[in-house]
Amino acid sequence: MSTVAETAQKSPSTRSLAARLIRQRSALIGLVIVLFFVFLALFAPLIAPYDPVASDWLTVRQPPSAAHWMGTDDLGRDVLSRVIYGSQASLLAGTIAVSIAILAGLPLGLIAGYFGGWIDTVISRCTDALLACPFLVLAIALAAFLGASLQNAMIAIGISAMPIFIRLVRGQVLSIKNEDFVTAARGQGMRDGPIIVSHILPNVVTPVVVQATITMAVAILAEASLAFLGLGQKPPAASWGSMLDVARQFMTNAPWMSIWPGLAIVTIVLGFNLLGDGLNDALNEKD
Amino acid sequence: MAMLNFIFRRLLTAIPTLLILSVFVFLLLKFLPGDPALVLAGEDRDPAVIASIRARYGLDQPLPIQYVTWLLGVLQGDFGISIRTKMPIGDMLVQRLPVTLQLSLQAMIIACVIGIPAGTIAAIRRGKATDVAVTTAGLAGLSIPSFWFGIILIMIFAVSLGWLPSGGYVSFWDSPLENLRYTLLPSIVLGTAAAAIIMRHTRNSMLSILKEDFVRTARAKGLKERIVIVRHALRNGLIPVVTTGALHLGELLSGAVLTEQVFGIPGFGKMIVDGVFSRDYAVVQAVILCSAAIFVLLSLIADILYVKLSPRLQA
Amino acid sequence: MRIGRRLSVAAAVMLAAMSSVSAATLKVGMQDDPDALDPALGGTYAGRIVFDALCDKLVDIDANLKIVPQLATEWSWNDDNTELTLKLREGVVFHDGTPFDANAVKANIERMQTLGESKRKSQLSPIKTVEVVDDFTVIFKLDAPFAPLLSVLSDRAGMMVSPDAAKAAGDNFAAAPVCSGPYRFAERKARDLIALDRFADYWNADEIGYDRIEYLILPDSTVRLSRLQAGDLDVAERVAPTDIQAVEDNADLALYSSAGLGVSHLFINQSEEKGEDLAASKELRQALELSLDRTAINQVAFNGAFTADNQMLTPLSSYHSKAYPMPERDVEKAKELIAESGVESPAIEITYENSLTDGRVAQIIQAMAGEAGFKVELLPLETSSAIERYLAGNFQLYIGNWSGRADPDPTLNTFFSTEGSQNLVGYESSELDSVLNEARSEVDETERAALYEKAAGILLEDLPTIPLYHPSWFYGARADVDGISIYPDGILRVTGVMPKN
Repeated sequence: MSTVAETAQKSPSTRSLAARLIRQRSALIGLVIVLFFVFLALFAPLIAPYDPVASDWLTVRQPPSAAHWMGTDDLGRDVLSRVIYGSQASLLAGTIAVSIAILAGLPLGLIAGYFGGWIDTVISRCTDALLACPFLVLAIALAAFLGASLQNAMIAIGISAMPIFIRLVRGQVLSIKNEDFVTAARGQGMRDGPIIVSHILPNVVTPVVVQATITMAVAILAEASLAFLGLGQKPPAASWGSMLDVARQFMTNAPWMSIWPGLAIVTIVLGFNLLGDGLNDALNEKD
Repeated sequence: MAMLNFIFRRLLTAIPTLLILSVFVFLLLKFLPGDPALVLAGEDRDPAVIASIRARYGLDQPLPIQYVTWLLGVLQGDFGISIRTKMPIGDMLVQRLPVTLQLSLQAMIIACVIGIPAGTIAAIRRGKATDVAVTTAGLAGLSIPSFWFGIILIMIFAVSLGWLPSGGYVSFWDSPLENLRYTLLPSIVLGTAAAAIIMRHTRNSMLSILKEDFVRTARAKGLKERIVIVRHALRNGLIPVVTTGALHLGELLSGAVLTEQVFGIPGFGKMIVDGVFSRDYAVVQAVILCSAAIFVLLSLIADILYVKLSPRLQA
Repeated sequence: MRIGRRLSVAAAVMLAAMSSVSAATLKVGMQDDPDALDPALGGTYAGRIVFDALCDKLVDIDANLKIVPQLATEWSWNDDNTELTLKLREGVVFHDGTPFDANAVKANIERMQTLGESKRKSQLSPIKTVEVVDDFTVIFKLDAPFAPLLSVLSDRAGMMVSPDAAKAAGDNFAAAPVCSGPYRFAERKARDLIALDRFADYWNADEIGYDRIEYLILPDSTVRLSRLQAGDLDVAERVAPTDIQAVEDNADLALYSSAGLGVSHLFINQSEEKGEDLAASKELRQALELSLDRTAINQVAFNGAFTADNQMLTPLSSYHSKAYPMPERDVEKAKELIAESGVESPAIEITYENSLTDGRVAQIIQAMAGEAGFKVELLPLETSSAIERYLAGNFQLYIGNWSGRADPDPTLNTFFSTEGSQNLVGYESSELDSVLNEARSEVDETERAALYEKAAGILLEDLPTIPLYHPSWFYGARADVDGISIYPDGILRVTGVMPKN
C-alpha cells in the first residue's frame, strides 16, 4: 500500500487522470469519436450494407445514390461498406503498432535509465540514431524491407515508434531513480528487479499511456500513408490508405472515391489527438 | 569561446549517431528482399547481364567490404552512383535538396503567418470559444493526411477550377512565376501541419508569458492591451517558437515524402520513395544519412538559438 | 512604384524569352524515367521513346510492322539465308562529327556483343562475324538462318552510337550518349527531365520540327493530362483509358492511338510443386480460362480501350491465328470441368507486380474465378521482389506483362520453348520446340504463318498461360502539333513532328 501513496507524489494515478479527463470537454469528444470507430470496426459485418469485397461489373464508379450512399469504386464495390470495414485495418494497425512500440520501448527505456553506464550509452546512442531518421522514412524503408502486408506495416510502424518510448521512459526513470523512496527500497536490500517493477514502473505508466494515445494518431496516419504507397493491406480487403491510392486515378471521373476514406482518416486521427491532448493537459494539470 | 566549444562538442557527439544510423540503414537495405540487378536487367532478364551488373556495383562482395567501401566514399564526398539512373548521387542531391528546401521554406512562411497570430489569439482568449475553435482547428491540421489533403486541393484548384497545375515542377531559374504556381499547393499542404505545430507552441509559450511579472507591470502602467501583447509578450513569447521552429523545418522533410509523391515533385522526399522502391541502395543510404545530418544540424541550431536568445528573457 | 515598374519590365522580358523558347521546344510528358541512355544497356520502354530522337538505327518498322530503311538503305539475304548484306546511307555523321560508315557498324555490333552489362548479347548472338566490304557495305554472317534478325535491328540492337565517343567515355557513355539521331543529348535530371537539342547536321534535317525536345517525367497520368490541357505539355504519353473521352472532347487536343504489340497474360506454373492442382489438371486450367470474361475485364479495368484476346501475339500481327477465336465466358462449363478434375474448390494464388492496373485486373479475376468455384488469393509484390520470384519460378500464377516485338519469334521462343529464357513455368513441348525452330529459319511469310498457327494451337491446348488482353497506346497532343503517328510499338517518332502553322 505504501508504494501507491509514494507514487502519487510524483505523477497522478491513472484513476485520478481519468477523473480530470472527464472535466475536459474536447477530450470527451475525442473519446466519443474513437469509441464510434471502435464500434464500427467491431460490428462492421452488421452495419455495412454490402460485402466490402463483392464486385459488381454493372455498377462501376457510380456516384452516390440511394442504393450506394457514398457511391461505388472502380470495381463496383460499395464505398460506404469499404469505409466501414476500413476502420478495422486502421484501428488494428494503430493498436498493434503502439503495443509493439511499448513492449519493446518500455523495457529498453527502464534498463537504460535505471542501470545507466555502458548499457545506457548503447541504448541511448541507438535511440538517437533512430530518432535522427524521419519517422515516416524509417517506416517506409522497414515496410518495404518486410514486404507489403498489413501485418508488416504494423511491425514497421511499431519499430519506428519505439525510440520515442525509450527516450520517454528513460527520462522518467532518471528523474525518479534517486528519489527517497527508491533509495530507501534499495537500502532495505531490495533487488533491482523488484525495485523496477514495484517502484519505478508505476511512475512511468501514466506518461506512457498519454504518449500511447498520441502515438495511436501518428500510427494510424502512418498506416494510411504506407497503404497509400502500396505497402499495407493486401487487396481486395479495404484500407483507407489503399482506397485513396486507387481513387487518385479517378479524381476527374469519380471524386467521391477520394472524399470519404480521407474524411474517415481525418476524423479518427482527430479523435485520438483530442483524447491525447486532453490526457496530456490532465497529466500536467497542477494539483 | 564557450559557444565554439559547445558547437564543437555537439558536432563530435553527432558523429557516432550518424555512424550507427549508417550501419542500421546499410544492414536494413542489404537484407531488403529484391535484387536491384534484376530490375535493371530489363525485360529480357539475361542471367549473364544480371551477374555483370552485380559485379559492377560490388553487389557480389561480402557485406563488410561493401559497407567500408561505401563509407570511405562518403567521407570523401562521393556518395556513389545511382544504380538506376547511373548518375552520381551527389549530383542528384544537389538537384533535389533545393527543391525540397524551397517547399519547406514556403511552407514555414505559410505556417508562421497563420500559426503565430492564431496561437496568440488563442492564448489571450484562453478557454473561450475562440480558443477552443483555434485549438481544435490546429488539431485537425495535425490530423489531415498530407496525401489526402493534396488530392483534395488538386481536385478543387486544378481539376475543377483549373487555376493551378495538378502536379509536376518547374525550376525557379527557368521561370519564377511558373515555379510559384507549381509549388503553391504543395507548400500549403506542408504548411498546414506546420501551422498547427507553430500555433500550439505559440499558444503554450504565450500562456506562460502572459503570467510573467513584466507583462503585468506593463499592463499596470496602463499600456494599451495591443501594445502589451505585441511589444512585450509576443516578443519574448516567440523565442521558444523560433528555436523549435528550426527543429520543425526538419519534420517538414518527413512530410515532404508523401506530398512530393502526390504532386510529382522531383524533390528529396520523392528520391527516398523512388530509391526504396527501385532498390537503389546507394540512393536510399545517401538520402537517409543526409536527412539525419540535416536533423542533427537543425537541432544544433535550435540549441544555439535557445542559448543566444534566452538571456534576453530577463531583460 | 519604381520597383513595381522594374519588376513588370523584368516579367515582360522573361515572358518574351519564355515564349520564344517554348515555340521551338516540344515538351513530352512521360510516365517513367528511362534507365541508362545507352542502346547497349537500355531496358525500358521509356528509354526507347527517348532513343527514337537520339539514336538512329539500321532499320525501322512502319505502321504495319514491315521493315523499312533508316541507316541501312537496302538489304538482301544470300541463298541459304545465312548472310545479310546491308547497304548503308551515305553522308551520315554522329553528333560528335564522326562519320557513319561500315566500320562504325562493325564496331557497334561488336560493342553490344562484348560490353559487360550489354542487354543485347542474346539478341545479337546469331551474328557470328561482321564483314566490312567497303565504306558503305557490311555483311552480317550467321551460322544458321535467323528470320527475326531484321526485326532485332529495328530496335536498340540496331542503334548506332559514335564508336569514338563510346571508346572515350567507357563506362560513362550513358551519361552523355552520342548517336546520329535527329536530336542530340543536352542534359538530364534524374526522374525530372531529359532534354535534347536539334542536330543541325542530321541527314534528314528538313524533318526536324523543333529546336529542342524535353521529356518530362510525370508518373501520374492525371498530372500529364492536366498539364497537356493547360498547354504546359505538347504531347502526353499513355493517356489513361478513362481520360480518352476528355482528350477527344477538347478542341485544343488531339488523340493518337494504336493497338499495341504487348500482351498481359496469366502465366501458369507447370511444375507440380509450384503449380499444384492447376499444373496437374488440364481441366482446371481450361475451367480457369472459361471462368474469365476477358471483354468484361477490358471494360471494367480499361474502359474497353484495350483488346481482349486469347493469344500471345497481337491481332495486328499477320502471324496472329484467326483459326482460334477467343472463347466466350462459360461459368457452367467451368464448374463442370472443376467437377471433372475431382478437386473441390481449387485454391489458386496470383502473384503480380503491385501496380494499380495489374491490381485491378487481379481483383477482377479473383471475383470471376470465384464465381466458378476457385478460391483465389492475391499476392501483390513490389517490383523487385516480384521479379525475383518470377525469375525463380516461385509462383503458381503470375500476371506477366510483355511489351511484345514486331516479330513473333522472340515472344513465343522466350516464354514457351524448352530453353526459353523466360520459360519460368517449366513448360516442355517437343512438338512446339520443333515448330518454333522451323519458323525461326523460315523466311517465306506464308510458310511461317502456317507454322505459327500450329504453335497457337499447341499453346491453347496445353494452356501454359492464359493471355488476357493486348494494351493499346494512347497519346494526347496539343492540336497545334502536326505529324504525329503512333505505331504498334507505342514509340513516339519525332521525325516529321512539326509545329502546325
